[in-house]
Amino acid sequence: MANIEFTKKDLEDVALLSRLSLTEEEKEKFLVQMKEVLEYVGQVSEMASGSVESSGGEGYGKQFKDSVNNNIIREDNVLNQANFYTEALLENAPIRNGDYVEVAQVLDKHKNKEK
Amino acid sequence: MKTVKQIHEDLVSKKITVRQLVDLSLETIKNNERKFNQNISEVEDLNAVVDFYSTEFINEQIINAQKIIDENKSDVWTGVPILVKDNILVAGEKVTAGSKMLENYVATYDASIVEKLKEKGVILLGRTNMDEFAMGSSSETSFYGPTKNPFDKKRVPGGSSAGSAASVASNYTPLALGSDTGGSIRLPAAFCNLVGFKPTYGSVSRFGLIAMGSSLDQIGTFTNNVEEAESFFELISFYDKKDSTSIPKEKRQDINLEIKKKIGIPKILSDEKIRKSVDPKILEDFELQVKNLKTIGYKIEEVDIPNMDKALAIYYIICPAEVSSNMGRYDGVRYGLFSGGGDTIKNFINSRTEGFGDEVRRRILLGTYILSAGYFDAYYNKAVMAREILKMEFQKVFEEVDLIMTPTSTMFPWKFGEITNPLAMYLTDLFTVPANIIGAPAISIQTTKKEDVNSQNLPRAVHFIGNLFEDKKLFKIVKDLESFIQK
Repeated sequence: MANIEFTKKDLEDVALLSRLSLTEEEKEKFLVQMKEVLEYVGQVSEMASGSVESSGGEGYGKQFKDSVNNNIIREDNVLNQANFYTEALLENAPIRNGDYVEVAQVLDKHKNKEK
Repeated sequence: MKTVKQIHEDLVSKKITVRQLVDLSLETIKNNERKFNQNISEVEDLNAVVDFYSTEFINEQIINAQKIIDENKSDVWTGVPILVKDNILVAGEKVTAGSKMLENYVATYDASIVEKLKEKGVILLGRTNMDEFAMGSSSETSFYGPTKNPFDKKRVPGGSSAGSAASVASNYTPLALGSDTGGSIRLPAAFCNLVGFKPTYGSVSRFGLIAMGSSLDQIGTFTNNVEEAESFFELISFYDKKDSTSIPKEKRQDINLEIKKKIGIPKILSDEKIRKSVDPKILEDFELQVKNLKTIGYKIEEVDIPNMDKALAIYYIICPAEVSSNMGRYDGVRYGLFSGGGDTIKNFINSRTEGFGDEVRRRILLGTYILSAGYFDAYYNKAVMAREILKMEFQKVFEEVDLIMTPTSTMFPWKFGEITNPLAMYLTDLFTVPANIIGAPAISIQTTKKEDVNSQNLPRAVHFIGNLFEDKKLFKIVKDLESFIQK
């Protein structure tokens, strides 16, 4: 994986998936920098070619195996009083309308009529 | 600067009140920070503290702590003021992770360790500056501008927990909290002549820590000495059911205190290519510490961890992958910066583009690419496998030796603007990253007495990695070396 094919088109695709926009200047800069990082990290393929048993088996990392690789679940109960966090959470919303968080219109009335 | 033990004695014997102690800290901070004191020039400004917590909150804590002391229920940290990295949540107080994205965000709940500290009467004074979302090694990615190195203000203090390190080094408080994902406590500790400790992954709750790389992040401390790191660790190390990676009490291995008196030096440190990437003066000091350990009766052995030098490559796959996922929550809808003007998707893009700086965006892009169909197997799956291999390599070595010893950083604190290439900056974490990859406890301690450190004689440090859950053993051995050095 020494020669990484990471093109401007790849960067633009990834930026859209990441919900980020980049200026032309930023694209040039990030393309070079990211290619360099991708080439560097490519060296992991040298060491991990076979299959490896996950998390250390019986000895080392057993604690991790038990508590990191297992799902931790709790009873589906409400733990706090009703409305305890409502005000604090709403206060952080960029646009608040009463007890609602306001967002841009998602459904378009007119388009639906046309169909 | 008094030790925490001495402060505790003064508090208990009523030589000083909690309020006097807090005022002393606040005064020291105001004497160094332009934000609170316009007489400080921009050149002199340390820029370590982002802001104090609200006066009401500080007052409430003072009253609570004094009450605990007056009732003779105090422990050694009761009434002691500390500073908190700006990515740990305190209910009702701002927390920004050094980002424009969270500039006006107010935490809605307490981090689990904050809850514990409040209960013990430890005084939380304010928030310290950091690289944006803890991504960086110099504090230059902070939205609030960089923190300076207290020993040479033209140089970086190390990152990402820069403000916490600079604060303790400048005697603002005896301790500050940090977080360490790839070296973000140990590097700034080395650059600011302090003890920087990253506990075993899972021993300190991450509930209420703003996530960066969740399988790597760990809260830890900056202190002046190892003993204080240890006693504070005892306070904040507990099982927390709110953190699904917190290790349950019964599964916390019986701490293996049987000391073989053997320290391992990884073979890669004799590799020519690696040696060339480390400052010769750092290697020289490292040899001196090896000698010191031998003098106090430790055997030094070369140990083979064949893929240790690959840890950084593993890290820069796993970390950006986790970053891209963790940063997904910043959408400008429920909280954080909102930049509108379009439809839902456009607003989403605008908010994130305006809210995140370069390094955060770079890691989101890298992570998204690495996790995308077609590259997932080549990068992420390979890195997860490589991580397991590295864990096994360390496991084998810890059957032979107590600790593994390396330099902390490859470089001395560099000058602001000196490193602009991201990969070059990443490479300075070569020795700190492996501990995060395997989840092991690690510590960096200063090897020069504070009074001998200045802009001509920059801080020096040495770094130790212990076996999982052997934090206690790590402290014990490192204390031996520390008392020899500080004699």
